[in-house]
Amino acid sequence: MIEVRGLRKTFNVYRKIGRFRRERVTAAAVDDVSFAVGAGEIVGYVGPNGAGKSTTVKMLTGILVPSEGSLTVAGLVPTQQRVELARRIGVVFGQRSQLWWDLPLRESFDLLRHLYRVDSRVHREQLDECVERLELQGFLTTPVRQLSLGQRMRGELAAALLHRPEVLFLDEPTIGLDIVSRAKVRDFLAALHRDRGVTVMLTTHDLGDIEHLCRRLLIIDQGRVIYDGALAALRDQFEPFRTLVVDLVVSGPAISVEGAEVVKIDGPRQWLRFHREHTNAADLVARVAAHVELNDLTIEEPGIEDVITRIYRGETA
Amino acid sequence: MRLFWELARREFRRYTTYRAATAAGLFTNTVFGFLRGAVMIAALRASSQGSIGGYNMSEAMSYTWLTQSMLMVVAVWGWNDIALRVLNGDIATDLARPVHFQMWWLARDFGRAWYQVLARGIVPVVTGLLVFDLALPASWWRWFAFALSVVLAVAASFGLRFVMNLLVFWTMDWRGLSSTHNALMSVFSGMVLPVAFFPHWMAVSFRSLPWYQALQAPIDVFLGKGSLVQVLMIQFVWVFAMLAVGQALLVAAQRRLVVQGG
Ligand SMILES: Nc1ncnc2c1ncn2[C@@H]1O[C@H](COP(=O)(O)OP(=O)(O)OP(=O)(O)O)[C@@H](O)[C@H]1O
Ligand SMILES: [Mg+2]
Repeated sequence: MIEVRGLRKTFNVYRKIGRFRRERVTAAAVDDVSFAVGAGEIVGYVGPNGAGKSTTVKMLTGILVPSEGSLTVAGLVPTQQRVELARRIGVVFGQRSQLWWDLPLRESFDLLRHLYRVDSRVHREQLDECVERLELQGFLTTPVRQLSLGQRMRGELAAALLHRPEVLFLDEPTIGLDIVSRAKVRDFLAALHRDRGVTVMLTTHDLGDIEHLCRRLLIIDQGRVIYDGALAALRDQFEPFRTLVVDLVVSGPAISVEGAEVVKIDGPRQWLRFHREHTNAADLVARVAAHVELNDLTIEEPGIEDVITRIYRGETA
Repeated sequence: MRLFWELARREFRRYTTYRAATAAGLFTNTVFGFLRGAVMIAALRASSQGSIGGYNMSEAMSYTWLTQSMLMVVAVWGWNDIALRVLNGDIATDLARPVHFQMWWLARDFGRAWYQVLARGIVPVVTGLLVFDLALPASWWRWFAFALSVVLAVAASFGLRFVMNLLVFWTMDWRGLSSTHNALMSVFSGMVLPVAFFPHWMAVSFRSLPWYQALQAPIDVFLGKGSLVQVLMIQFVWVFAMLAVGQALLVAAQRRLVVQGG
């Protein structure tokens, strides 16, 4: 559904050197990015601020012309077939609005029916579904400028979906949403994906969104893709260590067993770090149990957040 | 066509939400009508023949009040809706729509213009009619030609404004473009002085420039100055020329387009 090969986007930025002279510096916001997304996939596109996520999304939606590389979305070349593509995709830029600021939310929705030439019955159905799922009924007749950020964002999302797009590009769609609205949006997106097989490319800084919605993750940093694979495999690739937490019957000194080392002690509770490939967890538990008497034990997986933080910091391979 | 209408309607409605601004603007327009009228009367009285550039007193009054009425309709002092969106990056959402960008804005501009006809156009002209002796078209078809010419003036002015707004892609600064636009408009459009007040050769060349088409052209049709057919033809040609320039600029802008912000 989405094919990207060797994609690059450079920006010219002017830097002051000396009093009058300016130097032109060409900076690559997206640098040789390649990936493919199949129909019906839901992909999380993450990376630190300034990594090039929004720039990529703009190229995929035909708004920015790539400096180099080739790309197709739904079989179309975005910049050459922008209008045709726009009919088939839905786009939300979290920090922008496509709604009519001074008019009631409803007016923007009605216009979209004419803009996308949607049959009025289909429009009705789709709108009702959005209104129900995103709980818009309370402010359909309120001018957009009077909406709260979270209300407006739900309106934006509905606006991007009314023409039943095949592909959705969401650039920080959950920005400014409270926990309840966020959950609603996630459920709604999950349902869209499940029931209609919509392909979704989602940019977010909220890892909860990723964990709830995306099986596949693309991580970009400084314009380059540094990870492309299953969310589950990310931990294994970047964080091979696991932690065994044991509660002893009586507090004692650090347990010494082969294949693990104690990293923390708090009264009767001890944390043992082990490499998941070198040490078998079951064996380790058996060895520890042979040493000391246990009340309880758990094995902790590293949080996805910790893993990604370390990747952003460049602390991993 | 349906979309064009829906867009115009929404832009019209959008403007109706700015009531206080409309009232204040209307008041100012009318007050300035009296001021400019007084200056015009003084100038005509002082001239030896009692007319300037072929304008007698009632024609000069018509000119004054018509320009006050049309000022907002053809947005003489420009408008920056597109430029602002380029500068803050909202242009991204405009380009993500399956619609011809220029047509989108043209439709909206007709909605805006119609609102200004009703909200800002009627009162100054009626005031002028009540207080002064205005020269009026003598036949129904001249009224009709005037209406047509106003529509063309809105389109021509839109063409100009569209181009000025798109230039912000290159300059990344609206103020310079805006003052350039205003300077060109005040000289060439007939906003400050009727084009006919300039020396003959200047007036002739002004009439073939795009700014004239946006304001003075319909007034010339109204007053019956010059050949009606010729005025309308030149307006027509300029509307298409300006829209074509705007479209070419848009294509160029999109090629080197830099959307601001993340
Ligand atoms: N118009 C522009 N001119 C110059 N540089 C730009 C422009 N737009 C973006 N950049 C640069 O390109 C890089 C990528 O920007 P982009 O907006 O794609 O980041 P992002 O991954 O979306 O970040 P964020 O998480 O903050 O939204 C940044 O370094 C930014 O400074
Ligand atoms: Mg971004």
